[in-house]
Amino acid sequence: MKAANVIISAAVGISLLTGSVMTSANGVSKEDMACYDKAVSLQQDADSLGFEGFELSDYPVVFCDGSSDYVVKPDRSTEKRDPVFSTLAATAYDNDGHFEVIVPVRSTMGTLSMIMGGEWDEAHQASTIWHEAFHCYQLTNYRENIEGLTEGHIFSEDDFSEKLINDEYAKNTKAKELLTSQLELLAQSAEETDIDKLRENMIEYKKIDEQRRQLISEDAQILEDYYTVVEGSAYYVEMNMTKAQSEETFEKEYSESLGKYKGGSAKYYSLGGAQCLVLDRIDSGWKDSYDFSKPVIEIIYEKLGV
Amino acid sequence: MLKINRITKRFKEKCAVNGLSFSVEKGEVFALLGSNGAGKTTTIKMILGLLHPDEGTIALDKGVTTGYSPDTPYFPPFLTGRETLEYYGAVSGMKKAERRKQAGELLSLVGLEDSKTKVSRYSKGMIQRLAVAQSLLGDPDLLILDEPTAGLDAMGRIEMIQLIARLKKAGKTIVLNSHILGDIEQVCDRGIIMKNGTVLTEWDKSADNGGRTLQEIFIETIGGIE
Amino acid sequence: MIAATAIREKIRKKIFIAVMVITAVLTLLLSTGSTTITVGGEPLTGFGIMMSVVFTVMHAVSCVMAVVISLGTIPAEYERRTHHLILTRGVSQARYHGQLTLANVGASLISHAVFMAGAAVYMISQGHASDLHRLLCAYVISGISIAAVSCLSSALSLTMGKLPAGLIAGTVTLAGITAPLLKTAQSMAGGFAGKLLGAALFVLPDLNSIQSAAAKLITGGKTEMHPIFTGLFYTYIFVMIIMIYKRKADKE
Repeated sequence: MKAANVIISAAVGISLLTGSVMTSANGVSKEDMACYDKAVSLQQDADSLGFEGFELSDYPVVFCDGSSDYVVKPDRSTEKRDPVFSTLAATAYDNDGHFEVIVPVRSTMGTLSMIMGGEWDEAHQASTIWHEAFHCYQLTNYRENIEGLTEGHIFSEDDFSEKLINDEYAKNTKAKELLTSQLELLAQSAEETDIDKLRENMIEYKKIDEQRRQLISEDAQILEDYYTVVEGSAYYVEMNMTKAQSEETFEKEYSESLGKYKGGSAKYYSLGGAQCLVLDRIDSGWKDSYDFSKPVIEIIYEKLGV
Repeated sequence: MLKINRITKRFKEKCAVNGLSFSVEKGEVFALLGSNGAGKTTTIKMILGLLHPDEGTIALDKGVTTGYSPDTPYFPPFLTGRETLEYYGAVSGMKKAERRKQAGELLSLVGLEDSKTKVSRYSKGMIQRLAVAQSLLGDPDLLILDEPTAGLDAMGRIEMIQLIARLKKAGKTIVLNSHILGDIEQVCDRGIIMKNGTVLTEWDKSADNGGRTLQEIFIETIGGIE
Repeated sequence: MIAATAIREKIRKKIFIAVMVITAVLTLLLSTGSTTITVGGEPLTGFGIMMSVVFTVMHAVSCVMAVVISLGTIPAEYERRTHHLILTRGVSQARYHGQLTLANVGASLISHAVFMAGAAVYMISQGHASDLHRLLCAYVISGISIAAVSCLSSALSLTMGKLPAGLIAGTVTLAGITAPLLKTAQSMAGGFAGKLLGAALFVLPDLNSIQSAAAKLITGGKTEMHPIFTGLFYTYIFVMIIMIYKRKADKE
C-alpha cells in the first residue's frame, strides 16, 4: 500500500475505534437509566403505600449484565465495577452494611422474558427495582424480625431454592387443593367491599388454613411464613408500582393470576401479596406499624376478630 | 525480448522447474513442449508474474508488455464478446473510447463480429478465440498462449492456428504451450522440449532436423509415448 | 468495474433469485397479515411490535444470505482461474480482493433491500406510509451489520478453505444475531462457561445491537451510536484483512 493509503486507512480505523470506545457503555445504558428514572418517578406512589421511611433514594441501584455492574447512586452519578454475582440475580445485596438493589440489565430481562413467551418493558423493570428496594428497606430496618421468622430452624440452600416447597406440594395433592382455595378466597376478598362478606371469607380461609397446615411439615410451614412475609410484602409493593404505571398491566399480569396456584415459592408471593391487599380493605394504615415479625394474615384475623 | 536464465521453482518437495533457460526474440513464435507435469504451465506463470522463481531470473526487454490467454478461459456468461473485451479493457485501465475501438477490431480479427451473442452461447472454440482477443487488448508486445488449441474440435483447431498465423504475420511475439505437435510445427519458429522442469532438446524449424518431423524429435527425446 | 460485473453475476445466479423470491413472498405474507406471529401462544398485535418482529426476522435472514452470497465469490474466481486475467493486467491483489468484497457487500445489500421492500409494503398496508423514510434509515443502519457479515465471509473465504470459512462465518453470524441470548446464558452460567461466553461476546460482532439500533429508528425511538461505530469498526477490520492478506495466486 502507498504511504497515503496507509495513513488514510489508519485514520479511518482510529476514528471508528475512538467512536466505538467513546460511545461504549462506560456507565449505565440509556434504557437502564430510563428504567431507573421511571422507578424514581414512582416515589410518590410508594409514599402513598405508607411504609414509614421507604425511599428508593436510600439505596443505590445496580444494573448487572454478567460482565460488569453499573451502579446508579441516589444522586444519579454512575459507576462501573466488577460484578458482585457471577450469575443472573435480582436481589438486595449487603455491601458492607449498606444495602443495594441489584437487577439484571433490561436487555437481559427482555431476552429471558422473550424465551418464556412474554415481554419486559420499562414498567416491569421499574416495578422490579421497587420490589428489590423493598427488600433493602426490610433488611435495613427489620432484619432481626425477619431472621426471627426462621429462628431455631436451619434451612439448607436447597430448601431456600424451593426444593422443600416443591416437594411438599408435589406429593400432597390435598394440601395443594386447599392452598388453591385459599388463594381464590384471598383474591376474591381483595376485591370485596362488604366487610361482613370479607369476614366470612376470612373465617373460611382460617378453617382451610388450619386444615392445610396439618398436612404439611413444620419446615414447610416456617418457610411459608418466611416467604409470605418477606416476598409477599415485596410483591405487594411491586403490584402497586405496576398499577401506578398501568392498570391494564396490573390486571393482566397480577390481578388475574392472584387466585391461582403457582409452582415454587411464587405461590407464597401471591399468598402474601394478596393478604396485604385484603388488609388494605380492612385498614389501609396497617403499614405504619407493620414490623415484618409475623404474617399479615395474623393482623387480618386480629382486626376482624376471627 | 524475453530471457529466462536458470530459473527453478519448487513446490514443497517437488521441483516443477529446474534450472530452465531459454530466450525468445522479437517476432518469434516460441513453443514450450512436453508431457503433463513437464513444467510448461509453471514456466508461463512465472513469466506472467503469477509465480516467482525460487532461483534464476526472468528478464523482459524494457517496456515490453504482455498479453495472456489461459488454457481454460472463463468469462462472465451474461456478457457478449464485445462486453467481455470492454470489461477487460476497463480492468487494464483503458479509456472508454479506446476500449470500444479495440474491442471492435479484435472481435473482427478473431472472427467474432456478432456482437449480440452472449458468451454463454459460445462454443469452446469461440471462447478460446475470445481469450486470444482479450490477450491482445492494449496491443501487447509479447503474447503468451497457454494451450490455445486444447479441447477444440478439428474446425476450432484450424481457426485457432489460422489466427496465430495471422498474429505472427502481424509481427507479434508469441510464446505458446501445446500438446498438439502438428499445430506447433505449423506456426512456431522455435521451441524447447521439457521434462521434469528442464530442457531436454531445443527445436528450430529452420534448422537441419535430419528430415525428422517435430513429432519424431519429440518421441525420440521423451523416450516414447508416456 | 470488477465489482459491478461480479454483482451482476451474483444476482443472476438462479439460487440467489429463487431464495430471494421465496423469502420475499414469505415476508410479504407475514407483513400483509395473512400470517399471524404468536409468541408464547399469544398473537402479537400492534404495529410497533409486529414491525420489530418482522425487522428482526428479516435482518437475521439477510445476515444468513450475506454469508451464502459472500462465501463463494473469491474461491470461485481462483477455481475458474479468472484471477489470471485480472492479476496479469497490473491489478494488485488488494484491489482485486477489495473489488470482489465490494461486490459481495453490494449483492448482500441488494438482497437485504428486497426484504426491506416487504417491510415497506407492510408499513404502507398499516397506514404508515409517511414513516417510510424511517425504514430507509433503518435499512442503512442495519446494512452495517450485513456489510460486516459479508466482509467477514469474504475475508474467511480468502484465507482458508470454503468449509471452515463457512462454518466460522455461520457460527459468528449466528452468535451475532443471538447475542442477547448468549449474554443471558453468560449471566446465568457464571464460572468458567460464563467467562468463556463473555470472552466470545467481547470478540464477536454484536449484530443484534445494530439491528436493534436500526429498529428503534422505525418506531421513532432514539437509536444508540455504539453498535453502529462498533459494526463499522468490525467491517473495517475485515476489509483490512482482505486488503493486506496475500493469497498465493497459484499452487501448481
